[in-house]
Amino acid sequence: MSTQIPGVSTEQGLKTEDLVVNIGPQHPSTHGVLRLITTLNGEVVKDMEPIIGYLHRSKEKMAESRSYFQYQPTIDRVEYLSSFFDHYVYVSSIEAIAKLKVPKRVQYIRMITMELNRITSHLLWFGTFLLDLGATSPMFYAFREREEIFKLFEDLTGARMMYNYYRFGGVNADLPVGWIEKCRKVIRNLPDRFDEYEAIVTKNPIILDRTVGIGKLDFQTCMKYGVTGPSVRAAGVPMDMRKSNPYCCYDEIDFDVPVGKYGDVYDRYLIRIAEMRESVKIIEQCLDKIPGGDTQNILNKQAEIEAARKAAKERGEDPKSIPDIDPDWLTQGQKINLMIYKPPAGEVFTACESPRGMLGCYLISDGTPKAYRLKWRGASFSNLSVLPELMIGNLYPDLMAIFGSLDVILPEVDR
Amino acid sequence: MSRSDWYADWFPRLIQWIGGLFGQDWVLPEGALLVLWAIIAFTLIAVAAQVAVIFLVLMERKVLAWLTQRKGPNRVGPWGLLQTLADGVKLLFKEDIINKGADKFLFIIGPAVFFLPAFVFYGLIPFTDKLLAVALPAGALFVFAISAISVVGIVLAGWGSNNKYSLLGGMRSAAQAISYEIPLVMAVLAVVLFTGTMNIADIAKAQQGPFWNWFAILLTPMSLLIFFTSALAEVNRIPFDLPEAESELVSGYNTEYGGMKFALFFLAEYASLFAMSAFTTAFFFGGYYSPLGFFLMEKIGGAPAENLTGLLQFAVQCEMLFWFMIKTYFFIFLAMWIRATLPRLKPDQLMGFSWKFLIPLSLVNVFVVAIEKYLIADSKGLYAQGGVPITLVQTAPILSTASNWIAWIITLVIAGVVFFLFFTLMSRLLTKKLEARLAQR
Amino acid sequence: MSEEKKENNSGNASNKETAEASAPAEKQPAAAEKPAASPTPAASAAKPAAEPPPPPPAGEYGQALEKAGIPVKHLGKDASGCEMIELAPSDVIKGATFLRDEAGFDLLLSCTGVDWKERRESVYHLFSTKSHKFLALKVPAENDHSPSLVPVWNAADWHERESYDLMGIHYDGHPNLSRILMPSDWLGHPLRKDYKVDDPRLVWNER
Repeated sequence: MSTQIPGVSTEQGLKTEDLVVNIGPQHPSTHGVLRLITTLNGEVVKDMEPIIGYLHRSKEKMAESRSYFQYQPTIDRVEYLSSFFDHYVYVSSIEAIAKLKVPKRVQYIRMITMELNRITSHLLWFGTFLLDLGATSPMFYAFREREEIFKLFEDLTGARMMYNYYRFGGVNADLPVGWIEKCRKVIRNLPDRFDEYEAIVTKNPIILDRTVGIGKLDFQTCMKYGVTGPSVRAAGVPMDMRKSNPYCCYDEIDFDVPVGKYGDVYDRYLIRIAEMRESVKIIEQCLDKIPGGDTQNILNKQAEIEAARKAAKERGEDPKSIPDIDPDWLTQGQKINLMIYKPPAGEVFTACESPRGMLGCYLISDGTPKAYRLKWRGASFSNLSVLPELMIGNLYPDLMAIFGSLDVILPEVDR
Repeated sequence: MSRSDWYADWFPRLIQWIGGLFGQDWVLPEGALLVLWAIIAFTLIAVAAQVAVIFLVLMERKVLAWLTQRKGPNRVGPWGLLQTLADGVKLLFKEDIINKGADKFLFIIGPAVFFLPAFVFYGLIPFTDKLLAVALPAGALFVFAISAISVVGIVLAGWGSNNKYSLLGGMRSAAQAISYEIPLVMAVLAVVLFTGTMNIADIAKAQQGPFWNWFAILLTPMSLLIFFTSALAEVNRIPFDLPEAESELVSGYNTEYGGMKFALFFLAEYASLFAMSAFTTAFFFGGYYSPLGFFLMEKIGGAPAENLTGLLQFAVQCEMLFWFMIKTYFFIFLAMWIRATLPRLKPDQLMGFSWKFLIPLSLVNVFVVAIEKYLIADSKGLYAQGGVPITLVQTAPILSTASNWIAWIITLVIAGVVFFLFFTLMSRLLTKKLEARLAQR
Repeated sequence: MSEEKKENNSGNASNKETAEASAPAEKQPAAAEKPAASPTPAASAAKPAAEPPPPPPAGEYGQALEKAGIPVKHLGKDASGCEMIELAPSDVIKGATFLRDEAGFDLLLSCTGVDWKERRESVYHLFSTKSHKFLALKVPAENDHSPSLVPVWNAADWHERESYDLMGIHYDGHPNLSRILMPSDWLGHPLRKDYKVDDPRLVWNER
């Protein structure tokens, strides 16, 4: 009994071995192509090493070989679930370098689209997270709402997922006529739908059993690994770029930053549901406050001005005495030629609060039409690095709960 | 209750007629007739079961689609009726792959071992009082003995695949089967204790009369709940589908299987789902009896079902089959509904639920039923005394006499008190556990 | 001419000897391209070089670092108002520890390498969860070596691996400096400006 074979537990004379399972790169729960080399002792995870890079498409190198505008469509593919945010940081970094003035209406349109996109992203997370836990139905219900929002996006940008809608100093096109009303209609239903989800999930004893107290992530650990986004807020720290460093017009909007208490998987779930509700609140306020209101209103105003100018000209007065339309009502700031646009030399780091955390873009411009260096700071990259620390000592099925709750999206990790 | 009485008439004559075709005079002894009939009936039922299972798959897809606001299969055939057939044809034509390093023998035999018990079940299901292949005196015991074999198939498949996911799935399955077979048997033990027989046909027959005579009501609903929950675990359905756990183990034990071998797993799963629902019906939900306590044909024919003859007998058989199927499909639907609603448990929670909750509950349940038996059955002469095997001689519904009603109500009170105490204790323990967990959190 | 070259290239891929022989020949057009392409970046690089006459004002954190006795090169502010400072590799651990403990920059957002052709530097972007301020910390990489900041911010682990992988900056003291995005047998560092995409050696190694 006294002889101990290394690596073999001789407790009660049973010979046991660790099992190395190669989870992925193709696995239903890795949400893309992630490989986790996991050492299991029975079902307990002893060690885990994430291997990434299977989706590396050299997005940063691509930026150096395309003009700023040509690079824009590829941004959609950096993170395809919430690409409005990636577009926003990219566009706003160029706006910062070139000191382009952005009309307020554009800011509001950006806020509305970004918050809608946050909802779609969280909805997809909600569906897949529960699918990982074995509940199949929530996925379809979440997709129902997601599809409604996608229809709004399609009306607006012509695409369901790959929007390419923001432009330097503006947006591609104004809202379609009647879009605001349509958006209101969709948004109005959402809180009830969220109640519906919560009714089946939030107090479900199996969900509680699988998520409460699992994968606890405190603030110190978050900082240690650079974790941002809902995971940090679940740990009880209201760290939200929209509040702390307001961009667009978030400082004009009244909203709360939902904060958790324990930082476990369940809290992360609650935070995301609460964030969707907050997003609905933000969108409602934006729809009320958007300068110019519905596009029909702006078109009417423009026609009015033109008619007044025509009348003034006929009267022999100076047509320029009739004031222009409020510049804040426009969807383009300074008119620029996008194809050959050259921002001045300089560098900038812009960040925004994406559904997954702090999304940053570090851009160095050398005054040529191509970026000298562009770096994406994806939240998922750092959020993924905390996974081994959370997993070691937990059960293998907890991987689905913990990894799912981090809401990592692999294209953003690998870029 | 010999089953030879009704086919004794025409079955030997059929044999004789076939013999006559060959110019022989075949008069078979009773035993040979029984065996022959069992084989023929079983084959018929098994073929019917295959067809039923094929449509069960479609039903599952349609029900899940309905529950998740989709359309489900609707391209192949009218309303997608031929979808499963198309899938089957596809699976048949697939290349039969055995992966490198697999234990060939175990790999091949795994699906067969898993498949077999699911169809052996069908011989024991009392679809009607006459439509059943064999009325084994120890049927209930046999069912659980057989159902344990399917686990061996899963473990063989898991081990033989030479795949770590499969191995984990197989091991989980073994652990799960060991845990859930106990409450499953305990729930039936209550019924067996009460009726004094393990013959499934007799158990179904003991529930004659209006629906309050069904054991789900007569013997406390707990037995039904325990049985159905454990049956879900036994057939690896959500929330107990850990051996497959698509999002964790990538289908677990059948990861490496494709083509017809996979189809065997697939068919067997649905076949056992049907069988388990059928047994739930037979054991607890009044079997083939109508909830009203009488059959339409009995009213028309003016005689008890057993005494009807000819077309009326055929009609009453159809009616019994109808009621049996309705109830069985109700339980199947319930399983699908649960699948659409609940997430999956973790292995430790799964074990904990069985050992810490279901097994104590089933023990308490057996205790309550024992009291009930003492009050109702024992003294009221449901059985032929001293006969071996003990057979039911009950002719009227159990709850048809005032004394039995009183006994039942007394049992209800006792059951209420006992279960109340049990659940209070359990919830105390659970709250303590939850509090500890929250504190730990 | 170009067709000939193409043929040459395709032949090279299959034949190692000729590949080696033609490698310098291949480099030539690239070398010829360099002086032609250089004027624009050089001019732009000269711009910030030309700007210094009024040296960028010292920022809040740069001053604090100086007060603590750590020599800092102030680089002014970037376009979004984020302060930029440069620390010498020898001071970087000390300076980073100061920034983390005293200035409150508890969150390392990213680490990336920038290839300025004649030199390379790594840029760390820091965020303070207390003051909500960003800071860009630049560390020049001497001979492509730079001290690792993993001891200060554990979050730098993966980011430095990425920077090493794509830019080829070696972080001394990093616990596990290996490729993270590219396959482990990849040649070269793709984000460098002199990285050639059509290098015949870069045939994916199918194992």
